[in-house]
Amino acid sequence: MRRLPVPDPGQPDARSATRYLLWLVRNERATIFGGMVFGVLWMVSQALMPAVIGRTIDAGITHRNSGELLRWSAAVLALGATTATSGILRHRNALVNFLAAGYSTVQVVTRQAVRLGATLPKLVAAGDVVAVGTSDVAEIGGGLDVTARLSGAIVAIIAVAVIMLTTSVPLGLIVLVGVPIVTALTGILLRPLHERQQHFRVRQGELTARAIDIAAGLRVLRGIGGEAAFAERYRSESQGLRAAAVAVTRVESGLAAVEVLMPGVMVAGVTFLAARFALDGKLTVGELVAFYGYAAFLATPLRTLMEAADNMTRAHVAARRVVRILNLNPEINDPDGSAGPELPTGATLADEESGLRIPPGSLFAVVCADPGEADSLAARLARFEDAGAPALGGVPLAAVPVSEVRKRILLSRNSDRFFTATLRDELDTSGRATASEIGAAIDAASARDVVEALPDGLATEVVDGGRTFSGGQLQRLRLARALLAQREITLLVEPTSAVDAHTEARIAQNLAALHAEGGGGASAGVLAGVGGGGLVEARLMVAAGALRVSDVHTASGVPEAQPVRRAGHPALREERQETEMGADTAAELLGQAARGYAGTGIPSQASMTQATMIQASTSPSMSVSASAPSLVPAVPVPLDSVATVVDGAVQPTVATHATSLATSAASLPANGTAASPVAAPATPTGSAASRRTTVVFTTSPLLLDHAHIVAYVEGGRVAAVGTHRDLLLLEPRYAAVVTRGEDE
Amino acid sequence: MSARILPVANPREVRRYAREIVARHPRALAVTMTLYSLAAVAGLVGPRLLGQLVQGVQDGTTISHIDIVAASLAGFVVLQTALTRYAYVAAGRFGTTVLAELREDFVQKVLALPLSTVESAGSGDLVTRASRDVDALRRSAQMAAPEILVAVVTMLLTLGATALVSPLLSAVILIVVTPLALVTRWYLRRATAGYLRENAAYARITDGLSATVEGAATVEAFGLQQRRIASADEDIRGSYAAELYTLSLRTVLWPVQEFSYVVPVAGSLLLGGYAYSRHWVTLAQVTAVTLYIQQLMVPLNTLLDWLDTLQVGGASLARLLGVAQVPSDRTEGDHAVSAPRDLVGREVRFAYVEGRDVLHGVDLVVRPGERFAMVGPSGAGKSTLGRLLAGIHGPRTGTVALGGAPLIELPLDELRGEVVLVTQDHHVFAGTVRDNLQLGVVIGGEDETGPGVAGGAVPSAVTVGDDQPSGGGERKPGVDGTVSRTAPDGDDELWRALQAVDADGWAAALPDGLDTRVGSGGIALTAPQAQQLALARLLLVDPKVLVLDEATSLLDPRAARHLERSLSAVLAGRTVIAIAHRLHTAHDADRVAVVEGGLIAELGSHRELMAADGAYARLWQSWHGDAAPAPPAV
Repeated sequence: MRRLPVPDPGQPDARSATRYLLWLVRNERATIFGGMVFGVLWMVSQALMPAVIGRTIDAGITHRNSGELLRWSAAVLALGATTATSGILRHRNALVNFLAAGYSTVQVVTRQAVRLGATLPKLVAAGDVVAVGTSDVAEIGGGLDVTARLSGAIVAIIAVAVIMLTTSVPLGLIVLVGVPIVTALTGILLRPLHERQQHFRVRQGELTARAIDIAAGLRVLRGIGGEAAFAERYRSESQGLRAAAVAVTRVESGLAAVEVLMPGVMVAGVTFLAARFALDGKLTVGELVAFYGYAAFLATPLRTLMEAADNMTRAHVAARRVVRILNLNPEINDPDGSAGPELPTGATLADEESGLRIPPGSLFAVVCADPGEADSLAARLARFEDAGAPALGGVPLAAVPVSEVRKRILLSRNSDRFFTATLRDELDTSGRATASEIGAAIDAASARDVVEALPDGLATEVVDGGRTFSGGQLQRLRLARALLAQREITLLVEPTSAVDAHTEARIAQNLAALHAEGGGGASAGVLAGVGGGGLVEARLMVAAGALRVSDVHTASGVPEAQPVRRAGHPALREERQETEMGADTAAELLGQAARGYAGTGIPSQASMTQATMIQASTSPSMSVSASAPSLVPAVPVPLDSVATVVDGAVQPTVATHATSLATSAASLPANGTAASPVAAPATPTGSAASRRTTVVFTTSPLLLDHAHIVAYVEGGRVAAVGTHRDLLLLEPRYAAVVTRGEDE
Repeated sequence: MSARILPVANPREVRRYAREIVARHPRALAVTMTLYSLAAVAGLVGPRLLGQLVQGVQDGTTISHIDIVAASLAGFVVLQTALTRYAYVAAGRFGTTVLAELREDFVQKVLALPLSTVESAGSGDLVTRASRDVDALRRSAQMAAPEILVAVVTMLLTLGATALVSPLLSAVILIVVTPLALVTRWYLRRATAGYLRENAAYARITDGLSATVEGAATVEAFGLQQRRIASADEDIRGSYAAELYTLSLRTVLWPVQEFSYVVPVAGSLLLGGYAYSRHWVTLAQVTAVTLYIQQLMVPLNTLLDWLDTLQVGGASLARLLGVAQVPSDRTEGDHAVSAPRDLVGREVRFAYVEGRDVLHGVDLVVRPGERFAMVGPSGAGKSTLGRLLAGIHGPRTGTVALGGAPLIELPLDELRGEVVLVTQDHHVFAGTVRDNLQLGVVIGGEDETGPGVAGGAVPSAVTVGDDQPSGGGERKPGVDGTVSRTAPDGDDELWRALQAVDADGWAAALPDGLDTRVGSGGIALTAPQAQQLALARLLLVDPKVLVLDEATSLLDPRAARHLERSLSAVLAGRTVIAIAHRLHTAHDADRVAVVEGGLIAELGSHRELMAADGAYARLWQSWHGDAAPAPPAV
């Protein structure tokens, strides 16, 4: 037997339905050929049975010749053995044809579905694709399956025709003309019945849907009553369907009758004529019996012919649906041409259209006045929609392959679902997380109790897409999965909308803690800029809840704009082009950045003042950005974060020790190193965690309070940026959105 | 997550039930059998006549004799045709009637499942029974059963006819009885499980495909492409293994069967030839028996083909019947609810699993008309307490009583008039918006006898607008028998309920208003809309006590707040127990209970709890941000 499924179904020929079917046939040519050979043997051996029985009667019985009798009886048995053997072999080949066609179709449709990804639901109704699995696969399989019987039927009809014509030309002609006419007539009678049956099946499906509806909504029904009404409605629909079934049965009964009548009349007619011929001596007695047999037998291969025509038509229709799906293309495409720019690591995710700028390493929150806006903004930032021109570190997301964006930016939404696997596998989408990482993510998402309540813990199979979990449990598992994915930037849309306040508070703290990790609570940042003809660099530290500015260095003698030219870093040039902000916006951003890096609550008043102070100290003319790599200390200790100032605005950029240490260390005054006693993270993992950016789209005060920076978006534009507490004070509309929704 | 599996009936019960349901229609069964028998008899004339013809030709006969035989052959064909038609109709009527009774019975049983089972079992198992098992049963009752019936009748009659023609020659059939019986038994013992496994494996493929399709965005976000492909391939591998297993069964069965059909044919020819040479039998007998034996194989084949379907149907029937075996969870007492309708919990302990209490002696009094909120971390027992307060479960020890009557002892209809639970588990029934709203009203409106069960109308206290100064009494359906459900008056009521849950806007925008078809097969409502419908439905039922378990959790926080406010205006005077994860619900309540570890840790008004500066106050502060102006207490 063939081994199925094939590891790689290959590229289907989706130019047309016929080509698709032929592609399947090519893939299965061995079993199709085998099926045909055994199909012919199987059918012909049956076709010969009347002839052999006739010969037995003639040669063996009427002539009372025991030798002939034995010989021909043995022939009956031999023929029977051939039928039995070739029958099962035909079936085995045909089944493989049926299955292989269906399986290949499922395989190519699955591959196409994952290729289309988020585009799929936009282009085609989910039901249409699922219907491929539930019905089209069987239709296509049926088209290939019937080839074995079809070839048998054709050969058998020819064989019987030859035998009959050599025995008696007139009788042979009558049978050969009569049987097809009778069969065709039956077929014509069948057609309206098929339509009625189809209609009936639809109603049957509706009644099943009603029963499922009752089962699925039983909690509601039992909770408030209404069973009587539902039972009554179901009963009346069931009785209606029963009446319809009886009506269909009436039509079917006509067909059943015709199926008795037509061959019956045929047999009677042939027998009548054959008997007359026999009486005239033109036919032997055995041949009379044989003709009776032929007339009865021929109906079978003829029905197969009709069935084959029907099967192939339906296979073609089904293949058309499959081909339509196979010809769809993703909405979001890779850029044309080869190697474009690469996405920089540790860079700002910026969205021109809304003015949103998300610094790396931060726990950033976005509050949208209109909840629908959050969805589209998040989709845009993760490039699930091709709108606006979001860019990471100046490189437009549209300029790199989609898969690159996906590797770096994760979008986790409440519409995301789970699949059927163990909970461990469902949470660890990369398949590479360690047990402790999984545990940490579960704890961070406050989902420990959910896992512990399961019979086998993490090894429990998630069934039915996770629908056995409550809304709040699902949400926490979804969050755990998103955190475990360990993307550089994670976008979470309303991640806690269904969890209780206690749990939400814990989750908020955990998220904040994840971002404080590595900074050791006393987080720090380096602020640098080129201003006044020199390089300005200041070190920001938060310790004991206060912001401290230290190590303000001014490297004079560096000509304006020179670092840009000197570093020659492509990202830098991009960075510079896209930022043009006023001095007050810069001041505000400066403050945010300071707090953003601080990670934990700075009294808002203090931070604002400090920020202004820093701004003042770096003024008057900050115009050109300093290169981030240039500030990386020479020792390969990962720096928490580095802020650069571009055109008066703080441009927070995470510098990793991987980024061109050599060029920068050599080219910059030693003050970069002087600013380096940053609390080094305990472990490399910790540092990775601290560099990760989490963007939460929410209106929950608990989450917002823990976010480093909150952006308030109204009418598609960022209307205010700051900490939650600042915004509560300064932005009444923001306060209205997050605290009450509607003030009395 | 206590996914308790519903029981399954044992084979004896299945057989008894099948006999019962068939015995309910003795006449239909008798008519069907008689008609089919007659049709089969008419069909048996053919070989016999052919035998006569052969004999006649052999012995030399007249053309007129041939004409007569051929004419009677045609005559019997016509007779058989007519009988077959009527037999088919009778069988169809019988089959569909039995099937309709089976499925109606099942739905009736589902609808009568105890509340506690429904709440804890989850709907997955039940949905499977309602879809796959009912469908399998349909194939059995509507197709397999009549086919088998006909096959058995035809077979017996053919055997009889064969024996009648020549007892000697018909004995050759005996050769194959034993091997056929043995191989069939061997096959049937394995087939049911094999085909069930095959179906289940195939269902996994389609389920997997629909998961991939529905989760296509998730697949893309998390880069699960290879996983989904591997998973589909794995499902296919499973399906193929299951297919190969049943194929191996058929590989044994089919050749034996097919060969068995030929052996008696050869046997009858051989024996017939020998007997003919000895003049024991005529040529007519040999011909007729040989043809009968060939004919016999058709019903035999049908019978063997359908036996496994019947078996699968039996397994499905067992699962359907199992639904009726869940024991009742209510012990009706004779306590009546009396005023004041305090909802009192005393020393309430409860465990889903024996020995693992989730409530540890809760004491609680909720006063009539009070708005009571329960907050607390997940797993603290809030929802469980809510279910007990709604009378769905009885406490393990202690009591939960309304107006002195233990809730678990109240008859179900009465209980619903008193206390109703609405959870976040939403479901839009296939039907119109009106159907969905009036689910509970039908009960309330038609059952006026129960004490305290309100009529279908929303009392005046519940009306939102002030355009309805008159009481609701005259609008009670059934009072004068003229108020119809679709009367504009009734619609007003529905619209007011929709307005109270902020759903009138989108509901009015639906293409056919209240008559718009929603749910499966209609317009798909969003989860928040479904929650709004559930709440509007609740308003129409108008119980005295409402337990809302996260009933607005799927709404946007702002919309939820607004909805709760307008709802609370409408529900003035009702007792509302709200389990909520959003603290504004607690803030708006008269009293708040903080549930922690199966006990009430803090209890008091928002202000009192804030003043107490305990867990609640800390939570509120972190939630609300201390910088914001304190909202005025209501």
